[in-house]
Amino acid sequence: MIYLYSFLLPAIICLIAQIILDNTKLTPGHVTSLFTIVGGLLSYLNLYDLLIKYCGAGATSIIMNFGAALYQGCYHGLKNNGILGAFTGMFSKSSAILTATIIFGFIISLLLKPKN
Amino acid sequence: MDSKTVECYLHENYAIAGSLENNNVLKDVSYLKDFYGGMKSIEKSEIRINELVLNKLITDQTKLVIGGNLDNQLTGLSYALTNRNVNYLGIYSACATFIEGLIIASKFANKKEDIVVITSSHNLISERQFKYPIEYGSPIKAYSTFTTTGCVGVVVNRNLSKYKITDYTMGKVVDYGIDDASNMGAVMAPGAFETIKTHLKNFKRTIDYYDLVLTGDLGKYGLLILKDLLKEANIDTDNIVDAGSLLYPDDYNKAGGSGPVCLPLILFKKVLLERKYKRILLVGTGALHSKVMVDQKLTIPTISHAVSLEVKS
Amino acid sequence: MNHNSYQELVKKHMPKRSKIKKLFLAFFSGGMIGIGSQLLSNFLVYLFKIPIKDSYVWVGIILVLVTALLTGLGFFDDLVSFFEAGLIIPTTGFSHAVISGALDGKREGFIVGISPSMFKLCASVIVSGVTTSFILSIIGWLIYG
Repeated sequence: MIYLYSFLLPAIICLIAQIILDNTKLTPGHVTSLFTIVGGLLSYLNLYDLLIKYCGAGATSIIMNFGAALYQGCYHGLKNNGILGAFTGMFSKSSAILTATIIFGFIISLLLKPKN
Repeated sequence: MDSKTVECYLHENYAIAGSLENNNVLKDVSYLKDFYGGMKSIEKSEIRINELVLNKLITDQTKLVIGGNLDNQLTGLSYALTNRNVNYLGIYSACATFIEGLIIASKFANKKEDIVVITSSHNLISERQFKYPIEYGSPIKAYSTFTTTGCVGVVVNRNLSKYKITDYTMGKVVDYGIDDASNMGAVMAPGAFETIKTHLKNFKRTIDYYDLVLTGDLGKYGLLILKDLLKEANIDTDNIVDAGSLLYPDDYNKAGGSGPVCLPLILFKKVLLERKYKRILLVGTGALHSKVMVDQKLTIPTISHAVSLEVKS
Repeated sequence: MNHNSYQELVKKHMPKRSKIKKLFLAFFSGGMIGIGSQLLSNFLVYLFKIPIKDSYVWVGIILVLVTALLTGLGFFDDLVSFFEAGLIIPTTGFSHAVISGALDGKREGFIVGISPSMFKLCASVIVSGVTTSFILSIIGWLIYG
């Protein structure tokens, strides 16, 4: 079942995003920021862990996961280390994606050039 | 001051276009192999194509170059003119720049000295300046036009030739409330409409005075909008053709070409070579688009300039 | 002509493209990335015996790497124009925005070219995520302790 849900969750989210892109003036930047915020909200409502449990990597491979990971990091930091923890913990669970993108971006931009 | 009768003549012209424009629409054009033309950056390649055109057209008799393009600070042209022994008037009316150049040249033209009017555009520079990074695959709207890559220059003076500029009408800035930067056709059609209307009124002509009305880069859909606007003002014609919409006939995803170079490319390297038309109205259409102002929720204004061209057989 | 009637005239002439096809493509490609990630995660757990949570992070990194390569080679922008939301919403979209920004600034060097361009498009994701998380965390902490 996890395979079915890991297909369905990102598919439905992408469908909603496509509807928004086609029918409003919002750009891809707006839509991804919107879903990041939604991810944070779902994590706040303790729903995102459920999504990961049932949809597996389907829930962790979308941008909503970034928002959820930011919330998790910030909240656990706050709970365990007080207000300082909110600052130190923010990127603790989402650091992998950011670091990977920056490193690979740097390497690719050294080696290749834009073509269109 | 809108409109004036003038007399000046077009002589040699030279055109370079990009690799995507190499599709049997144009004749007698040098094509680049790719977007870089052997240079290290796209900005340097636009400077290079301007240099190549200027090298072909500038002689000892050339005293003035009038021109512009879509680059910030017109870098493609100003860097290509460095250390050349000519005066330079850089101008900007987006994709109507070429016609603006012809209008100004008609004021300075004489029999002893040559003026070169030049314009260029580069697809990747426009993408980078006005939209997204080059490699970014943003969703493309079906009505978007595609910035053409190329550079065209023409020599202008008062000595007789086959191609005579007989009069012009300068445009006014018009804004019909479009804020969608992907829909330049809809932005620019009202400008072309107002200028054509003013031009015909000032010279007391009907649109049938011309064998052909050639607009710059409204694209397929912008041209339909213009025709409707003209029809509502009782200017009914089948003779309007849009230069941009002719450039990519096989590409379903492009509503046409755009950029200041569309009009001169199609004019010199297709329409005039067909030798079918005696009186042509050239209507350059420019969207005075500023990304910052659109982000600040303003709409996009437009301007359109027109000149009449007579061809002697 | 007033602005509203002009908008109507413009709309009349805009081409009609199939919306259903676009929705299906987005649905399909989003789903394929999801199920592909799940299969890859299972594969990594089976082969390297790592915890499931770590495998999810590895899958994310691999998605970023593949997107970076395809963007650098010039294919990914055509894919995104075709599948649209299906490749923008997964991690591939974030990575594509950063990598294409980095490539764009290449000629102006590292400090003024590559570095600022990298974050041109994804900055809004990071800023909105961080501010939302901060505010919600404070609220959550005040309510639940």
